[in-house]
Amino acid sequence: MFATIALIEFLVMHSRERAHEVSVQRGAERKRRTIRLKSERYYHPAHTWMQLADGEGIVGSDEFVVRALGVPESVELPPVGMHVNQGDPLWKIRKGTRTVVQMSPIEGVVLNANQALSRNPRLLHEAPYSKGWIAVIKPTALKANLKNLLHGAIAEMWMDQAKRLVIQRFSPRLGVTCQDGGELVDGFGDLMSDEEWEKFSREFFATE
Amino acid sequence: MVAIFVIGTILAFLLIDFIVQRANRRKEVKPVRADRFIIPRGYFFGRGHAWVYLLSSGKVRVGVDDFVQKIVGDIDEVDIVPVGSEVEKGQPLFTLKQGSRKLSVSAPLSGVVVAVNPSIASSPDLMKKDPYNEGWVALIQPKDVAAEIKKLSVADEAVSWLRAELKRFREFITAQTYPERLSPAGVTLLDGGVPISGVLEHAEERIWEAFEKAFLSE
Repeated sequence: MFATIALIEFLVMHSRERAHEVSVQRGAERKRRTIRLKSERYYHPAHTWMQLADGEGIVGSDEFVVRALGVPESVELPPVGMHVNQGDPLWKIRKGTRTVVQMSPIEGVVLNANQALSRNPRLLHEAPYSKGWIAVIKPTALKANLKNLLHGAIAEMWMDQAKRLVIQRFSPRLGVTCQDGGELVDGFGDLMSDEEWEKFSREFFATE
Repeated sequence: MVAIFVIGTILAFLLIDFIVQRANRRKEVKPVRADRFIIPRGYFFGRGHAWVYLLSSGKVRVGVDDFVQKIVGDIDEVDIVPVGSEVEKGQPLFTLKQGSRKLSVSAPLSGVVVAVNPSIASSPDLMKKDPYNEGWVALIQPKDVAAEIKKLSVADEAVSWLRAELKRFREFITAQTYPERLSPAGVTLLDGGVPISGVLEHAEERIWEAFEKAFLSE
């Protein structure tokens, strides 16, 4: 008697489970299509971005960094007037004991830094590509620098693959949808052990 | 009696729920596979079966994909161009050696070779064991990654390309190995049953040369 009920229950649950999987996958695909990266934004492989406005480069941290840290506690901005090379450390984002040092996507002189971030570091998390910008840089070697940056469809592909790679390399628990793994949990770094975080940040944010 | 029945049923349900949930947790996100070849996320593939992995420093690691590793079988030695060499996309980057036979792998991107994997010289089997991590071959500072990376395949495109390559290889090896069986009307294929793993280990030098020409040029 129990066995019969158990069997029926098992079959019902199993079929529901499968239906759920399919719908989750469909949902994830729809979502991915809507998250489009603007084509004129250029990405450095260490997960920083640069967008040109009137010949000046606005730089910042990309959505991947923001996802990794979640809401930051502080952002250490670069000093105005500083000269920086492409790939050199330019700003720091802190959360608890963890710090991400971010690299400048271009070479140039820092003209301005987003002081609103020192008062309200949340901005970085809310809008990494707009209100959460980090600095404005006067480019000094733009043409050469652009050869090392990704943009357009390939940037989009690279970002998507980076997210999936994290899930594959570290743990499926970091993904929102376990089956497909297109999106990462917000603040997924919190789910990593210190050792994992060390390995992860070295691979994704360090330049050497 | 009824109470026992009810409690028993509830227990049975809980047990089933537990088992189902545990089974779900076991499912892990696995690398994509094209037939039996591994294609990891985030890796870009050149037409000549060299892979490219973009490091956060902007440099790229280059290695040989799982397809070539499986087909070639054991590699005895890898000859890499010296550190500091400038290579153009499509030029020879390194040579895989097995006994007296060799295959030249072309550079998937132009740039300067800034390092070679120090472990490869002492244990070339790393390339077969872990082709995408420990088995990397060269570290390159690319010249124009923005333009050249667009020509490589990634993700689903890489999967379908590798599937097509596998099909092409089956046709290739059938034609090379059994030319006498070909009907005048065209190629007679062995229906997907050709064993792929280490198939070149037993092939003559002539087939190695033809393979290099057909599959390893950018």
